[in-house]
Amino acid sequence: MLRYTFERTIYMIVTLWVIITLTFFLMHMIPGDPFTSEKRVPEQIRQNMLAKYHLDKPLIVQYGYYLRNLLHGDLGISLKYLNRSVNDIIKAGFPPSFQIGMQSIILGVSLGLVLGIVAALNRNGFWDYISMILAIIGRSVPNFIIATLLQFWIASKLRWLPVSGWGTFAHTILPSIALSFASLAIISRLMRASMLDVIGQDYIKTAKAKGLSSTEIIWRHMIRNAILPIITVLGPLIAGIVTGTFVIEKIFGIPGLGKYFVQSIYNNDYTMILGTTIFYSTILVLMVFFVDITYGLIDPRIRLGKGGR
Amino acid sequence: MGKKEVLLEVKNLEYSFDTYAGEVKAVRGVSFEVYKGEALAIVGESGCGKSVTMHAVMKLNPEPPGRLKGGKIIFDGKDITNYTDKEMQTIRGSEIGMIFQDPMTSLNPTMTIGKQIAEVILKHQDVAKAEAMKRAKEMLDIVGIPNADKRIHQYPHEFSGGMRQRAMIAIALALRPKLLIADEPTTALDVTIQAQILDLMKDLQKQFNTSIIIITHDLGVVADIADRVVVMYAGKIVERGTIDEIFYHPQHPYTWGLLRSVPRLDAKKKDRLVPIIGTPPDLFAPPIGCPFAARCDYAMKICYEAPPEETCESDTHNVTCWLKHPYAPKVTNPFEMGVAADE
Amino acid sequence: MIELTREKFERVGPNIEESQAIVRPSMTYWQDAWRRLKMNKVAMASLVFLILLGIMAIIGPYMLPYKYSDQNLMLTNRPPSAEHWFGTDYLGRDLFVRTWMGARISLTIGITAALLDGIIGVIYGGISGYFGGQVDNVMMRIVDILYGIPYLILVILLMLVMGPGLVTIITAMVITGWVGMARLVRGQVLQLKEQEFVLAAKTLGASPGRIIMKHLIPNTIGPIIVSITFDVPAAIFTEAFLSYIGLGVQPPLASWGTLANDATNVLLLYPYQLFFPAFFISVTMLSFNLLGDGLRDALDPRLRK
Ligand SMILES: Nc1ncnc2c1ncn2[C@@H]1O[C@H](COP(=O)(O)OP(=O)(O)OP(=O)(O)O)[C@@H](O)[C@H]1O
Ligand code: SF4
Ligand SMILES: [Mg+2]
Repeated sequence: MLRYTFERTIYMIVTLWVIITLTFFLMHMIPGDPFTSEKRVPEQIRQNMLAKYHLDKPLIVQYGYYLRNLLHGDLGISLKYLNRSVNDIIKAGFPPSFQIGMQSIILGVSLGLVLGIVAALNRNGFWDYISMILAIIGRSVPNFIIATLLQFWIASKLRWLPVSGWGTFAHTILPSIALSFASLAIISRLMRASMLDVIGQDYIKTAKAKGLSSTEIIWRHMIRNAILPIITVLGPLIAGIVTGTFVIEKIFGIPGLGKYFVQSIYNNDYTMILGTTIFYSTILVLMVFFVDITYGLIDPRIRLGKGGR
Repeated sequence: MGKKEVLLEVKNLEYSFDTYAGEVKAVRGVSFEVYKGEALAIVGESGCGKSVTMHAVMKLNPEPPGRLKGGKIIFDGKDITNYTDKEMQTIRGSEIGMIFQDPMTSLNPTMTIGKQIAEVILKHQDVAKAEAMKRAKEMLDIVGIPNADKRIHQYPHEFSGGMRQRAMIAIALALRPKLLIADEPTTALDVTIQAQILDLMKDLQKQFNTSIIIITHDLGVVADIADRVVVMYAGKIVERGTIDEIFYHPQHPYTWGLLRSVPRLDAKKKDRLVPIIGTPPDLFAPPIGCPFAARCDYAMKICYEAPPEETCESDTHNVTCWLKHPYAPKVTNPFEMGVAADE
Repeated sequence: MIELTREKFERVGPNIEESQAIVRPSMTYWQDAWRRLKMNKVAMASLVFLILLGIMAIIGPYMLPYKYSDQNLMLTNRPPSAEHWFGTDYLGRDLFVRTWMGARISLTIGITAALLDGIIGVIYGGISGYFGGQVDNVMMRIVDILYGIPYLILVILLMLVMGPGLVTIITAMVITGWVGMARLVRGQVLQLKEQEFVLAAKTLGASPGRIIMKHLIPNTIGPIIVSITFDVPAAIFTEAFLSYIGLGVQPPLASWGTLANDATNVLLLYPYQLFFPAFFISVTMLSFNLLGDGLRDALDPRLRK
């Protein structure tokens, strides 16, 4: 397990480094220095900026400075909102995004697991069809369309929930549901398949031959083994949810990081793009890292350092 | 063998699977009994219904598609034919233990061995967890796994194949069941390990006075452990008798074929191994006559037209073959000959 | 009851032919796969839908006398009518024509990106798996790291650098999209490599390129086709997503994503405008997914019976 954790850690660091480097040089491949695009920047400030961020130096030196600042957690200053640092904007925008993201993950995963288990146990029954329909919707209708439709019907027409904005829990409900659809679909179908796979395993026969009841077999022997393979898709799933916040926040007017990110794309706010990209990637890579470690913790075959993944 | 008390009696069992392609008549009228303290072997080609029969006794076949079509199962004086799943739960694990062919997949990979043994104790007896774990450890000792203290906290993947099968035996025998059903317990193991596992089963059978039903393809295993043998073919029993009767006075052409197709310990140089040609019939549409007819050197017209009845050779020896009919031509039994020549 | 007479006991012997009769006629892999796919009604319906969609993407834009970019400010936001079958948008552009132009673009992007992903992934994975050892080690480390980079974020960055447009969307998606396929192919090749027919070819002195092309790829083609089929809807989604946040194809060109975005802006007044792009994106993605499911079942050799 130690070796496994170590290996994962190295991967994580290298991945992050590659992302930072890639992002940095990609941003600098855009012609002109970042400040020329914003005409309103006074010359004095521009000079200060160039000096402060060493933009007058060769690219590789700038890169060095950027990395150094990054290690101190300094992501630079927004080019659009000159008095605000990228750190500040992230600090302000992250909590709403985090809440929406977390709520959708919890909703999607828990509901998906339950639905998958129930569907597998009632193969071709009512809940199996419900889960199949939800899975089809989640797999084929893009999240921004689900979000728009929910907003249109539930909020605008039926007026059950606020159309957009931020503040109360009610504001978070529709965005979370819209965002959780895809993961709900994936998890419920995978869990169903995984459960059906486990049901056919020999050790379930053994458990039955011991005289255990169906409930005991399901809880003690099936679910734990069936969940294991699901954990591996959590990484990509979380990535989907995080990127999904970009559009969801735009649609529901949530002052979250995703909205700022999309905004910074419209504004050509390069430091902001750079900063948020690195921030997002770090979050995602960390999530994937934790998922890997959790998997290792749950699966004794990895925990005890035998066998690969 | 002393006075024989019947522990399990299976009468005219019929079991089918309803698949999308039609009814698979996997077991078609099977009768046998198991006496207390004895070991019964069930042999026959792959797919002849051995496992389905045993799973039907334990009600382990998934239903649907499985379906008990007829017959009676009497265990320890109780008619369990129509037991519900809940009633069966009190028998499974405590009165009948079962071990399976592949020890690599028969244990839950995410549960420690100790917990898997303790689970069966906790299910059937009102004991504390710590007590159950203590007894799990004792069971590991009994089945010959060293360092049981440490081993109970390990997971199946830390055990070798042979050790896993020992652990399976520990689970199956933890509650000293009256009957142990072992479905090809040694097939997946190395030859040396096979012998160890068989020895262990024989030891424990004596120690606990358990009856054993052992399913196997391996006539060596049969000779080693069994008191009586049932030979199955295409969902039916074709011959059953004591081990001596089956090995030295086999009466059914299929048994002859079976005996000729495996090396025997007492083989003479001139004996050659002869495989049985052809494949068993399709159980979707079993032949109306003797199921073995298409492969039987001695097949007669009647064999293709009507199924033979079971006849008694002796108190313990039954054969289901038209050759036993008085009209049938006399054929020389190759094994009687062989034995005669030996003497 | 059959009457038992002596003559019934005449010996006739075994009937080996019957006992060895081959029940099913033999079929090639593709015939067999096609037969099984045809039995799958859902997959066939999806296939038919996709073929119709492809035809409409080609002829649809010419079925009405407007160009996708023709504006008519006198006739904005009209509901569906005899002149404008799907209505018009906020600039008075015909939505029927624009929807099928969108189909063209979405399908082109989806299929091209998936195919390019497939080709690059197959080559990379094939080489990595075939040579194994140190080569494989290095190549897979690279893939592992790329795999860790959030896909959509990288695509967005690349789009920013390369500027919007059809070619750049496809390029951005392919740069990041091939790793999944590379992993899949490598896994398949590693499994197959040790099998006898490959060893035999090796012993006979076949060159690596020949072995990869003649033996390994044909034997891994099933999972590859399935994976490409699943990649298409993923690419269509990515394009729609990018267009929706304004990074995709630029006006006056239309894709289903930009159409959905345009419709969203007037959703409260003209909700039906969202219907067509939303419907076609969803049903197209659904059809590719269901077809993929069907292909997976049909091409899986384990299910072959
Ligand atoms: N769930 C099922 N559905 C349909 N048919 C089944 C099912 N289970 C078993 N069968 C059929 O029942 C027949 C008997 O199978 P069984 O497993 O009892 O054979 P066996 O004698 O134990 O063979 P082996 O030595 O290979 O274990 C086989 O022809 C098999 O195809
Ligand atoms: S009944 Fe006929 S076919 Fe069947 S085993 Fe006996 S002789 Fe052979
Ligand atoms: Mg069996």
